[in-house]
Amino acid sequence: MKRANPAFRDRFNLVALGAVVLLVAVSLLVQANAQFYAGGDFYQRQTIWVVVGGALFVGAAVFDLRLVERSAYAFYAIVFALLVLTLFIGTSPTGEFKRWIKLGAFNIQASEFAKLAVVLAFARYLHQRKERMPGEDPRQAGSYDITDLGAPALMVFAPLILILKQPDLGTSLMLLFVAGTMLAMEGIRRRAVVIVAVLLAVAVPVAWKSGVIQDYQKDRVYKLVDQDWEKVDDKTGAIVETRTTQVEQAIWAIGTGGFTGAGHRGGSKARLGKLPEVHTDFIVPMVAEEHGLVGMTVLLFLFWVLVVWSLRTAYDSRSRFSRLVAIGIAALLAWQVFINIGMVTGILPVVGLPLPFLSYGGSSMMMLMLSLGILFNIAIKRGRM
Amino acid sequence: MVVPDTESSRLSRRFAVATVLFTVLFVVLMGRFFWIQIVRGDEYRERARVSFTTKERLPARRGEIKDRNGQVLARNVAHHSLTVLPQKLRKPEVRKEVLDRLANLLALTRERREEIEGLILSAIENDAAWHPVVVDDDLVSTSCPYDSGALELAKDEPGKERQLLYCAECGITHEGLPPDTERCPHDQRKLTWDSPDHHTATCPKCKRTFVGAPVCPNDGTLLAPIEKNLECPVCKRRFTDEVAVLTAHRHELPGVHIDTEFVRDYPSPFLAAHLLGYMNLVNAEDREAAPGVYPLDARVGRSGVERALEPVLRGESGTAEYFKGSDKRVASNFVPATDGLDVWLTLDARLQKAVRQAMRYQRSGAAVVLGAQTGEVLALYSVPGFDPNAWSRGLSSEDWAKIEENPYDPLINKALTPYAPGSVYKIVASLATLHDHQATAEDTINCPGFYEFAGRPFGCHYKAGHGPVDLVHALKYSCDVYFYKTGEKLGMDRLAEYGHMFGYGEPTGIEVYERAGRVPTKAYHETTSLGFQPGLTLSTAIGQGSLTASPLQVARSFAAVANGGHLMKAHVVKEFTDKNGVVVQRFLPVEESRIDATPEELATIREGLVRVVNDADGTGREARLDSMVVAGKTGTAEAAQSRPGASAELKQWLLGDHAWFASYAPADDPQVVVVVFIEHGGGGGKHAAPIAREILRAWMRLGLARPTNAGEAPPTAEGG
Repeated sequence: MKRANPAFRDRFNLVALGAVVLLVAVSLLVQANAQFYAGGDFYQRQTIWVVVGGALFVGAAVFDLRLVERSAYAFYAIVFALLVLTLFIGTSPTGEFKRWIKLGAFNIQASEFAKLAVVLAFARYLHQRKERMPGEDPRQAGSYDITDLGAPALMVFAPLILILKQPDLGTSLMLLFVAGTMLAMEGIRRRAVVIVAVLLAVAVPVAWKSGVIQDYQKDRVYKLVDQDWEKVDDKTGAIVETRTTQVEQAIWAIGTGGFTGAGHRGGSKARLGKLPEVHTDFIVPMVAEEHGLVGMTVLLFLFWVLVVWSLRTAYDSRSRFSRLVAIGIAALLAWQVFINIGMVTGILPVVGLPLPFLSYGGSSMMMLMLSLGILFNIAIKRGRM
Repeated sequence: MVVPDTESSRLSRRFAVATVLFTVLFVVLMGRFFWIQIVRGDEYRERARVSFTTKERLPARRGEIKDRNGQVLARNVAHHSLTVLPQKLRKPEVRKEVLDRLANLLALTRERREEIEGLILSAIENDAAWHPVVVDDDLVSTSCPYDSGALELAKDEPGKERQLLYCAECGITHEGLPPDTERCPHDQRKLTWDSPDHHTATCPKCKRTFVGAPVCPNDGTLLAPIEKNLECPVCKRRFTDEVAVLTAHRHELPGVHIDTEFVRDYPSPFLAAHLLGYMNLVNAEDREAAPGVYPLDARVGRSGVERALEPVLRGESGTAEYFKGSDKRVASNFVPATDGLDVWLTLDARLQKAVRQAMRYQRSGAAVVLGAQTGEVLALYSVPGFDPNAWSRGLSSEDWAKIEENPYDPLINKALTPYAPGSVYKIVASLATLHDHQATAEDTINCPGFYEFAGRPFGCHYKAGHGPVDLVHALKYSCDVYFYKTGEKLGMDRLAEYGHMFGYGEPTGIEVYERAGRVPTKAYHETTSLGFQPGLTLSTAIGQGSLTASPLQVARSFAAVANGGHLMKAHVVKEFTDKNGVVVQRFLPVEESRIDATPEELATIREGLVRVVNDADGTGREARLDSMVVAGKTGTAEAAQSRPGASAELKQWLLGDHAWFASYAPADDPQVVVVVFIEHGGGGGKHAAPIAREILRAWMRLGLARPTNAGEAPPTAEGG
C-alpha cells in the first residue's frame, strides 16, 4: 500500500463525507417506509437522532484528539457503569431482556456506546503499551505475545460479559471482532494466535454445553444449519415453530425484489408489516424488496467506500492512537454490516445486530456519528495529535 | 525479491490484507444477494405469492325457481352465524370483555356463556385455537326466525317506549315499568302486584309481566337495559338486528366473525316439494362427476327440478386471490362468479294450490294438470308431501325417521311413478279396435257380465252384464268384456304398439326424473317365470296385468286424444332468465309424434269420453260441471298388495284398488287435461272423479280458461 497524495486524500474525504450524508438520508427514507409497512413513529424519532447525531459528528470532527485520548478511559468507565446499571434497571419492549435504560421518552442502549468505548480505550492502551514495548527480536518487535494479552482481554471481556448477560450476543461478538481486528493489525505472534485459537476451540463447545449460550441462540444456529429444523414442544409433541420463520420470510422478501425491486413502497404490506424488527435488525429485506439487487449494490458500495476510506485514514495516520481508532471504527463498520446482512440473508445465525445508519436506534446513530466525527477529525489532521 | 521486513512494511502489508479481507466480506454479501434475488428470485417470488396470498372462492348465487307468473317457489335466504376465534381471546381480560359484550348483545344466558367460554378454553388448550367456535348459528338480521316475516322498525307511541331489561344470569328479557305506574302500558288495565314489595306486576288482561325495579325477579341479578327496536309484523315478537349491532361493534370484538351463507328456502314448502326437489350436502360422486365445481360443504339439488337443472341453477363460482392481512386488496386472478339462471316453470302456483286443496283428504296419490294443446305441466302434485327446507340446513335424524316411517312414501313423486292404470288405458284399446278395423263405431258386442276365455271366466266389473254395447257405450260404462273381445283379436303385441303410440312405456319428456313404466309384450312375458299366457292380453287391454303407467303418461295420452292426435312432449320448464329477468332461453311446446288415427276415430273416442261424464249413467258422472263440458275416463285398477309387518289399517289400505280419473275440458275446445290418481283409493268414478271436478272448477275460477270465441271478453279472475 502506498501513501496517498494529499489531493487524492482530500477528494477521498469528500467522497466519504458524501457517503455518510447519503447513508443518513437513506436512513430517514427507509425508516419512513418501514413506518408505512409496519406502523410506529420511528421515522420521527430517527429524525431527532439524525439531528443530534449531526451535532455530535461536527463536534467530534473539530475536537482535540489528545483530549479524546485522555478521556478514553473515563469514557470507558462511564459506559461500564451504565452497563452495570443496565443489568439492574434495564428494560426492553417485551420485558424479556435488559438492554435499555429508560430515560424519559427515550431509551439509552449502553452496549452501543460500549463499542466505541472499547475501541478508544483499547487504542489508548495499545498505544501506550507499544511505546513501552522493547523489541528484543527485530522480527518480532512490536508484536504481542500471549503474555501481553492479559490486560487487553480484561478490557474487552469485562464489558462483553456484562453485555452477554443482558443478553445481547450480537454486540458481544462485535466487541470481540473489533478488538481482534485491532490486535491483528498491531501484530500478534503466531504462538499467541495458536493459543487463542485452541482456547476458542475449547471454549465454544464448553459454552454450548454449559448454558452460557441460551437455548434460543442454539436454535438459531440449528435453524441455519438444518434445513428441516423444527421446534417440538416437549410436553405435547406438537411442532411449535418451523424453519419458515423470520429469516425465511426475510429471504422471501429479498428474493421477491429481484433485479430492480418492487419500487418505493411497492413491497408486500402484509409480509413486511408482519416481519419482526423490520425497522431495526430486519431493515434490509424491506430495502431489498423495494429496490432489488440494484439498490443493494448501491447500499453495499456506500458501506464499502466508508470501510476502505477508514482503513486508508488509519494507514495515513501519523500517530498509533489515531491509527488504532480508525482501524477499530473500520472494523466496527465492516463487521456490523457483514453480520447484520449475513444474518438476514441466512448465511449467519440470527444474533440480533442493527445495520449501521439504516436501522432505527438513537444510541446506535449517536455512536456512529461520534465515531465518524472522530474519524473525520483524524482524516483531516492526518492523525496528528 | 524479499521485501525488507521493517515495521512500516509489515504495517503496509497488513493494511493491504485487511482491505482485501473486508472487501471480500462485501463481495460475499453481494454474491448472496445475487443468489437470492437473481438466481432464485423467481422461485422466491412464487413461494411468496403462494404463501402470502389466500385464494378465496366467490360463491355464485343459485338461481331461483318461479312459477309461470313469477311467484317464487325456491329462493335463497341469507343465514348469518357468529363464530369467535379462540386465538384472539387468549388473554383473560380480553376474553372476559368480549364475552360480556356478546352476552349483552345476544342476550345469552350465563349457562350458555360459560359453555362458550369452556369451548374457547379447551380449544386453546388443545392447540385448536385457530378453529372458530360457533356462538350462535342463526343471527337475526332482517327476517323473523320464527315465521320469516320481514322485520319492521317497531313504532312505539311517544312516551310509551317499552323498556326492555336483560338479565345476564338467566338470559331472560324482562319488561320494565316506569316508576309510579299503576296501569299496563299496553291496554291500560290496572296491574296487580305479585308480591307486597311491588317487585313484579302482572296485567290481568294481556298477562304480561313487568318488573318494577331493574333487578331480576328470578335470581336478583341487576338487569341491563337493551334495545330491541325491530318487530315482526306477523307474530309481534321484538328483535334486535343482531348482525347490524355486531357489525357496528366489531372493533370492540376481536376474533368475532359473522359468516353469511345463503340457504335454499322454499316459501311454501308442501306445495310442490316433489317437483322442485330439495338440496342436500354434496357427496363424493357429485364431486367426481363435476370436478372442481363443488367445495366440500356445497349443497346440490338432490331431486326434482333442483337436481335436473342443477347446472343451470348453480352458476359458476369465481375466485379471487387476496394478500393475507387485514386489508382485502385483490392481488390477482380475479374471476367473478357467474350467477345461476332463474328457472321459470310452466307451473301455476295458484292452480297447484287448488290441486293441493282438492287432494287434502287423500292419503296417497297424485294429480297432474297438463295443457291439452301444449303439454305444459300446469300443476303436478303428489301426496303425501315433505318439507324440502328440512334438508337445506341439514336434516335431523328425527325428521328423517319420520319420513322413513311414513308408509305412504312421501319422497316418491307419484305423478311420475308408474302404477296399474286400469280402465283409463281403454282409450288405447279403443283406438286399436277402430284403426285396425276389429270393429266399427257402430258394431256392438254383447256383454253378459263375463267372458269365458281359455277355460276361465274373465269378469266384467258389472256382474249383471252391460248387454250389447258399441264402442261409445263400452267407454261410457267402462265395459270390460267389449275390450276383452277386441283385445283378444288385436293380440298382445299390437296392443303394445298402440300403447307406445300413446306414449305409454316411454319417457314423457319432462325435465325431472321419472320412471317410464312398462307396456308388456309377448316377448316381455316370455322373460318372466310364468311365461306368456293368452289371458294376459285380455288383462292388458283393460289396463291391468303387467301394464304400468304414471299419471303424467296418462295425462299426455289424454291430451293427444283431446287435441286431435298430437302427442306433445310434457315439459315443466318454461324459460331461463338471468337475475334481471332477461330471458336467456325459452322452451316452446314440442310435438313428439302424431297418433296414427283418422279424425273420425278420435271423435268417436272423444264422444265416449264425453258421455262417461255427462250421461246420467256414465261412470264418471261425478266429474260433471254445469259451466263446462268435461270429458273423461274413470279407472279402477286392482292393485291389492301385501307388505310384511304392516299394521291392520295399512293392510286394509293396501288391499284397495287404485282410483283413476283422467279428463280434459272443455270437451269442444280441449285446453286442459286433469288426471287424478289415488293409490289404493277405491273406485275411480267415486273417489277420483270428484277431485278432478274440484280441480277443473278451480281452473275455471282462476280464469285460466281461454275464451272459446275470439270475440268474447276474457274471463275475469272470478269468472267461470
